[in-house]
Amino acid sequence: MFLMTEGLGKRYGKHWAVSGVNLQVEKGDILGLLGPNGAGKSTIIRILTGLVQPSEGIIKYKGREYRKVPRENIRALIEVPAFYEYLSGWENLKIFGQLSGVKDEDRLEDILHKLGLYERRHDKVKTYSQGMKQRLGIAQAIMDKAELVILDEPTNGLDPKGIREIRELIRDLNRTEGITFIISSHLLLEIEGLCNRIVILQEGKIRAQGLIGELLEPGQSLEDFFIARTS
Amino acid sequence: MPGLHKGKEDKMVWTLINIEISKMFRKPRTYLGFIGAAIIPLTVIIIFSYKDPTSFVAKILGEMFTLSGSILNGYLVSLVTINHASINFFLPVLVVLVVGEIVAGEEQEGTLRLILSRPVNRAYFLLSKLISALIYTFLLVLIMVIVGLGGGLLVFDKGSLLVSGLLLGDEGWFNILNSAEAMRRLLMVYGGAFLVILTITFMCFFLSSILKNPIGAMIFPLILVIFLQIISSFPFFSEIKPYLFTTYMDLWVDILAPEIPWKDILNSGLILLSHSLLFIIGSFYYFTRKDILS
Repeated sequence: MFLMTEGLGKRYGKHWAVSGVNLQVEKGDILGLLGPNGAGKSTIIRILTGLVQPSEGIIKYKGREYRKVPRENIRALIEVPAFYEYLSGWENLKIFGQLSGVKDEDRLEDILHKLGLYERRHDKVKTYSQGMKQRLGIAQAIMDKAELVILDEPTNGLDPKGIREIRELIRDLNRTEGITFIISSHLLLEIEGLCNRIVILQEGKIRAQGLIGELLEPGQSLEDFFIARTS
Repeated sequence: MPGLHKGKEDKMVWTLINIEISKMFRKPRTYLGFIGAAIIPLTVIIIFSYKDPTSFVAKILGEMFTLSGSILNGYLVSLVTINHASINFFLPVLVVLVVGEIVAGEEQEGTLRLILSRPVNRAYFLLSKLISALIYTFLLVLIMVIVGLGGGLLVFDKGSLLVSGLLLGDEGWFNILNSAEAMRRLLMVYGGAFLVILTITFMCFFLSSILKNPIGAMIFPLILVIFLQIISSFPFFSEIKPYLFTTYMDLWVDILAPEIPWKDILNSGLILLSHSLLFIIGSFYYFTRKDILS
């Protein structure tokens, strides 16, 4: 197993945001993390990216046990993309690239082309639309060939064309570079069309997890399955 | 390969410091701080160009002394800048303007979660922030030296510096320093002022590391300084007064006395440094453990 958690839990005061989470991700998966608001998706993402310390449980990454996942090969876009607004998109990416030792400017330019940001790369981020910031957020997550990329609501603020482009980019990176993705989204159709594996969370616990093809009965939509598991 | 690992970590520290310093110099508010640091001595120079302060000082000193000629020179500009405008309020305001948001600003805007989700050591990240805060504070004081002392000497030339402890809020000593001694003492005064302002910087840095709201990290240090100065003035708080860092914020005044009380200055400096150390340790302890929830 590429990534798995055992009994993962996080408590804030007396409230458990997540508890007993046993997550399983195979190498090359595109995993959809689903759940209503407050289900614990963001907490799991923050634990996996080292922003939050788990209160209990362990994380196994490529066979080794960790209390905190090594972030050398993990990149993420968490919630609303945030950048240094007084710098250009290019300068922002260079800063985030420097933090992980990325020097491949050709790849950076290629990604900006694919995300439709190349022409505006030297403009200050404060002049970008929400959709452009979202694309820049995705660019910083995928720019340095990480093994695992975690995207929290990656299509927020994008128009239908933009959503399709991001979906195709994720598929392409997954296929050609073998990047494993964990994608949190409210858009069930998007998840159904993109992911091979899903995890459904509710009230901090896993309600269902597995390959979409194995979980759904013939003719059953992900929406029906999701509602059945969370109601 | 521990050597290789250490080399990688050293590189990361330098990368972070480099990024932080370049970010600081790209922010307009940094320059606002630098302009602010230059405005006070410039204002003093302009005012003194129109009105020689000799008669004003003579009036305050009353019948104790008779002043003949003018006491106005570049050293006086420098002293007035430090005493009346800078140490207790104006410089701290300029410090909190930038240092208050140095960490809390990143947390509020969300860039902190993007940085810390990358393979960045939190302690190194905070260290790079601390160094940039230190550089900013140093530059503020340096600007005051260049504009206040340098500009003052350029416009009003050298001369003897008349110093009265009474005018500086201390005991009633009186001192006249010749030009060379005035320069030496004033440079030491700036050193003392830097030490005082550093304590404010580190307190603000500590608050910025623990708070999510930069406004709180900017306002709280100023309120605390004013509050501690007020309670220090009440006799019934005399027992706690020696433990408050605000008690030692005027340590630079003694540097101008006829006999420099080195023991007292050293004691004050050590107390300020120990406060600074506590603020720094507190920042690292809390920041390396806290959950990033913004």
